[in-house]
Amino acid sequence: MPNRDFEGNAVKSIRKSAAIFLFLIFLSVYGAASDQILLKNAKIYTMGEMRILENGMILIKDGKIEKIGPDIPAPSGVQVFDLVGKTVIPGMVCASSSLFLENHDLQYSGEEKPDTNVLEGLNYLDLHIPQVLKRGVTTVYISPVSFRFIGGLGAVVKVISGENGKIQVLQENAALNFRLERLQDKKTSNVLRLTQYHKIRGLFKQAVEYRNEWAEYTGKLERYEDEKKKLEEKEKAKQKEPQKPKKDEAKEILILAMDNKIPVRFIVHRPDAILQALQLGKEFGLSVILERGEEWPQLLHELAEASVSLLSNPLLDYRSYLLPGGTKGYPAGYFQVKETDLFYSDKESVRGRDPGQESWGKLTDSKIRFALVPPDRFPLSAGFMRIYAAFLSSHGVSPEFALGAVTSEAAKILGVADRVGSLEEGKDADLVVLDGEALDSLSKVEMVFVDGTMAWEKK
Amino acid sequence: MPCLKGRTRLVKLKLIRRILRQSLLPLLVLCLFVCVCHAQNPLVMKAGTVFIGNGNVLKDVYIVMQEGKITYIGKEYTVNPETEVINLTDKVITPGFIAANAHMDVVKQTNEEGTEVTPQMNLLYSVDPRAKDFEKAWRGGITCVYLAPGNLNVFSGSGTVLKTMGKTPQDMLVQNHVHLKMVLGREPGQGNSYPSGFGPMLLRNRRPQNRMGVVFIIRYTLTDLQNKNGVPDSELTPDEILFRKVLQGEIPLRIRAKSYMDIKTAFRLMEEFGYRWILEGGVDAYKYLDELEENDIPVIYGPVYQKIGRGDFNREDEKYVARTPVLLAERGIRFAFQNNEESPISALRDEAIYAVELGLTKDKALKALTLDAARILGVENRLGSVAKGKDADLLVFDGDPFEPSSSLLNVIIDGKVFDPNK
Amino acid sequence: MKKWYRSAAPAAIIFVFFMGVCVFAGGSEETYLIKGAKVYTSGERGILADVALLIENGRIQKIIQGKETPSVPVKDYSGKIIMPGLVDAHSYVSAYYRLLENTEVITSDMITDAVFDASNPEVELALRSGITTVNLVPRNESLVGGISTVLKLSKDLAAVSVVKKQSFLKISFNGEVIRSDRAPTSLMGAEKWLSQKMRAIKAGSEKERENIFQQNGLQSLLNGDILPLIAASSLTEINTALKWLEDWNMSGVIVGGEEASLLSDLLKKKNVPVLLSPVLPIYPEKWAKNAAHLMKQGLTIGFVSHMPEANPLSLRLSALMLYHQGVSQEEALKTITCNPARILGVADSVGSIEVGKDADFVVFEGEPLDLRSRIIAVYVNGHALFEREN
Repeated sequence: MPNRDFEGNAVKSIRKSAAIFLFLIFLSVYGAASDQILLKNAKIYTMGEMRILENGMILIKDGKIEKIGPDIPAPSGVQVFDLVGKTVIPGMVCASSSLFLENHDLQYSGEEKPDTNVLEGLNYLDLHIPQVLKRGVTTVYISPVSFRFIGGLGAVVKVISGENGKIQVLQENAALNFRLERLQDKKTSNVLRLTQYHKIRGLFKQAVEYRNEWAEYTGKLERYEDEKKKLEEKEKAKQKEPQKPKKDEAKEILILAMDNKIPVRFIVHRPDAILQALQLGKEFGLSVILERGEEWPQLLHELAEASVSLLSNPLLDYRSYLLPGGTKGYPAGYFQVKETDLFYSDKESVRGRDPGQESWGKLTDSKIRFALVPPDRFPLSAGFMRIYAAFLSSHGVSPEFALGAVTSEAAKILGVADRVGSLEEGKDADLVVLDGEALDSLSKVEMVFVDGTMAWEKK
Repeated sequence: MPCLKGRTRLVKLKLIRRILRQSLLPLLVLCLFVCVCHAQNPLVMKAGTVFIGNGNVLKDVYIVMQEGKITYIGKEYTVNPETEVINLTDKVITPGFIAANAHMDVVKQTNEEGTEVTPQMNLLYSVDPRAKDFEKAWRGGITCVYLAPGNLNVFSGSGTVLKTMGKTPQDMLVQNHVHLKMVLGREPGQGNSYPSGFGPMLLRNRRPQNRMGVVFIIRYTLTDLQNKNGVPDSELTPDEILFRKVLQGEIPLRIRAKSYMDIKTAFRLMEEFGYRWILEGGVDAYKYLDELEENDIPVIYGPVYQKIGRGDFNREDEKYVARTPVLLAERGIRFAFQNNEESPISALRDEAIYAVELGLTKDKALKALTLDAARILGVENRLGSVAKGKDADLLVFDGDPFEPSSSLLNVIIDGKVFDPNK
Repeated sequence: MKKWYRSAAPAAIIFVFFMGVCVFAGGSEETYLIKGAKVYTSGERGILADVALLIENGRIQKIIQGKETPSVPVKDYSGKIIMPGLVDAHSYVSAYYRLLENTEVITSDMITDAVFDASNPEVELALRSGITTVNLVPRNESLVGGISTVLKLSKDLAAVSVVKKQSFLKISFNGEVIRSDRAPTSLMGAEKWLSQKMRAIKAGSEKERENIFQQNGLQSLLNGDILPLIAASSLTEINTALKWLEDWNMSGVIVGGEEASLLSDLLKKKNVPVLLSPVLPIYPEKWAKNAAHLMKQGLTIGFVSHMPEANPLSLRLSALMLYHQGVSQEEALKTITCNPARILGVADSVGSIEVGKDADFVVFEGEPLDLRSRIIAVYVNGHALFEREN
């Protein structure tokens, strides 16, 4: 009798485990197929046409935003995150960073020619990446560094450690970097700046000549080909083929810049340098982005007229480059900086003109496109974008504008707005979940999604 | 609890006594337990071969370590059944190696070049215990090192003896202010130059530029002090007090001299001023074997294969240089190994292996790495051999330590066991 | 005959009393009430809600909670948050190039109150960032730079008040003092050089000429009239500083302290407060953990700005980073108000909003640690040195 019970139980248990087994397989298969994530009940700053959704939902599929709106029906098998009380913003964009660059490349990278490409020197194992990512910055622009007049081509990449050594590049050859004002050696001088200006101008003029040369050659070649068709065999040999000019990669890049295919970034600080950058833009038809440009308030009208983009930060003060101690972390120099070395004396500094930086409010109404950049070149500064945005919003600038300066506007200036910078259908699912207001410094980042996968979560 | 109402006082007392008696034993056991728990559990090893460090070898002995010291070494040991005995019966134990002079990158600036006579300089508080060289050292079996200020001053300072592991340099300290370092030769003259034209006398112009200048400074300093023989200590500067102790033989000088000229100078100055000294470097020491033996001067020698440098090197004697440890050992001169700027600190064991290949006996080689090094540094009461009462600094090898094929399995510093391969 | 003054006397007394009251009441032009929604006192009373501060003659006379307020002019900051004026315990504001005397490596007699320039725009920037009290210090490039002064910021040089004339003797064991062209060329040398100089002064064997820059400051140090403020950042530098303090049996303060958490037990044992350098983007995580660890060990820490080497915002930013390590807002704010004040020895007049202290406070639109909050007004000694329009 016990045997029988035992057998009966055994059969029952086998059936039970088989059922569980099948169910699990069913779940896993079905589950595996669903790489969909649904975020709901959050306050979403879309930074796009939908603006702010007080109680919104986002459906993520295959790394992109499939749907976004106040009410989305949840497909079966989707992983749901209930974000009640939380805020969602797009993954932030840092418009100038030195992430992925090795130590010595932070000082100087590449041959300083227009075709120097920063992508060739990137370190995909950069240990700073998790620290920047956990603060919600998911896209950065990396520019090759140089203290001379030209840096080279920068790129826009995602802030994730590359698998198999590959860095996820959003835009190669995103911009051409020039330095119009050099603050090396704890000094600055007008002669230095004029030299830089003439070098850059000379470079572009050579590119114009090169373009003309090629245009001429192309014309001659066409005529030669045409004539060749009309002539006899004997005559053909007598014709001389027009000489082909040498291909120059660097000049090709400059031509692309002059055709507005690649924007041009100028590092400038003072009004005369800004004006020279505008001049170059006008002369060669460049699409100009001003970097740093601390003295922009003085030239508001000119900047708006020239429809340039501005990358700056209220914390920027080029005088700090001139201190022998610099910011802590730069070694104190042997130099005793005399006050005559400064172009402006103590009293005439940037601060003297606008100590409270109240002029930031004027940016909102002007036509100048603006994005925030870190005030220094430390790799981890890129992570502090939300702090810079919060600080900017305390300077007479609306919170939407400030948030835009680290998301949608930055993406537009970098030319990657079709993929990142705002939460809209079809764009990459890069977003940040906060436990409080978007720009509230006291709120903490809870989750960071990159390409639809959770790249970081607060423990 | 039994009801006490109505009982007599006497019965109450008896009850109390009974309770006390009954609880006495458990209390005692509890106390014992607490005491035992409080005292660190001893670490017991059963070792196959133990090289004591003084030349003796013990086989199949127990080594017991407690609170960082060796408390017992011998065959008769009753093992507490609860204590775990580490079985090393097929292994070889030696004392931890001591680098009697270690060139390590653990201090940012090792030279105070403000003036060339800086006997008070001491590196202890400038040591960064997180420096990689400490890790490299103990992974190579070196448990204790001697660190001294650099070679760019004539009297550069006093040395420090440290263990190679610890959180702060104070935790690692074995003994401070060991030997006063004096440098002969061209090194103190490096970087110094003549004043240009009518330029001012700057730091670099006021310092010695070649060996003559160095010897001048030494004579100047020591003669100055000799002239103050009658002056009481209270009227001397701290520098002068130190030099007085040197002249009186209380503090030995550690003289860094490589070439034969400099070693000769060291002897000559010894005759003039009568100091006790130790020779460090000594590439050309083989030329002075008689004098070294006569005056009982220890030698810190290394690396085994080394060159002095251009101009100082006598090429015809190249083949003798490497055999110096053998020659020193034959004469009974006490010596120890060191590394230099080019050879890493972890290679000290390799130095000894080279020396053995060149003819040094293994027991002498081991002594040079352990007990003799400790004796030279004056810390032999704590380190240098596997003996009761000394620090538990031991190395566990899987074979003869002087066979290149044997590997270092464990490093024990202050009774704590570490794996050099992790 | 005698009777007339009997009746006149009480009248006279009343008259005198009346006049006295008038004079007393009318003479203090600086009496007013400040109203705020929330006050971080940085003191024993913690955080107070809906309070009114009675300010009189530049001091906080009363803290009133409730409806009954005296009839004096009111500065209404209802809905706003008030905290004590920030105390920057290590700053070179307005005088960066004048705080380094390079003739000698030990220039202990230099006193910094002589070089403060109230008209420098940095002062305005500091005020607008909420800093009201600074300890103006000599730079780190000198072994003994001189004597620091604690003063209140003001754009008018005549109105600059000195809180503590000779606060500390600034000593530097930092990397900046080590050079290769002059002594000291090493950290151990720096410490020994200083001790040698002090021994010589103690023995009275210093020659007259060499006393010019070095005698008084170091003599005060030896007499115990002044405490040392030692710049030390790395483990070895802090270790050397502690050893030097022990050798001379002195207490002191360490500024910099980037690696202080590695020696927290030693610092605690010797009771040495630490003034920490502001957060720097080079290593924000390590910096924040260092600061949080020291705080958890019970050490008194304060943040400094090294202005203008770092932006004055860095004080609030450092406190914010500490908050993100799990410290409460109130405790984080203390590191930039009452802790530095206590370390500087001026806590009886600045650093917290308590009765009897100077009326130095900052009015924020929102939470002080929220960087979106604008600063509406900054008061020093009861005067609004910065006030936002509208």
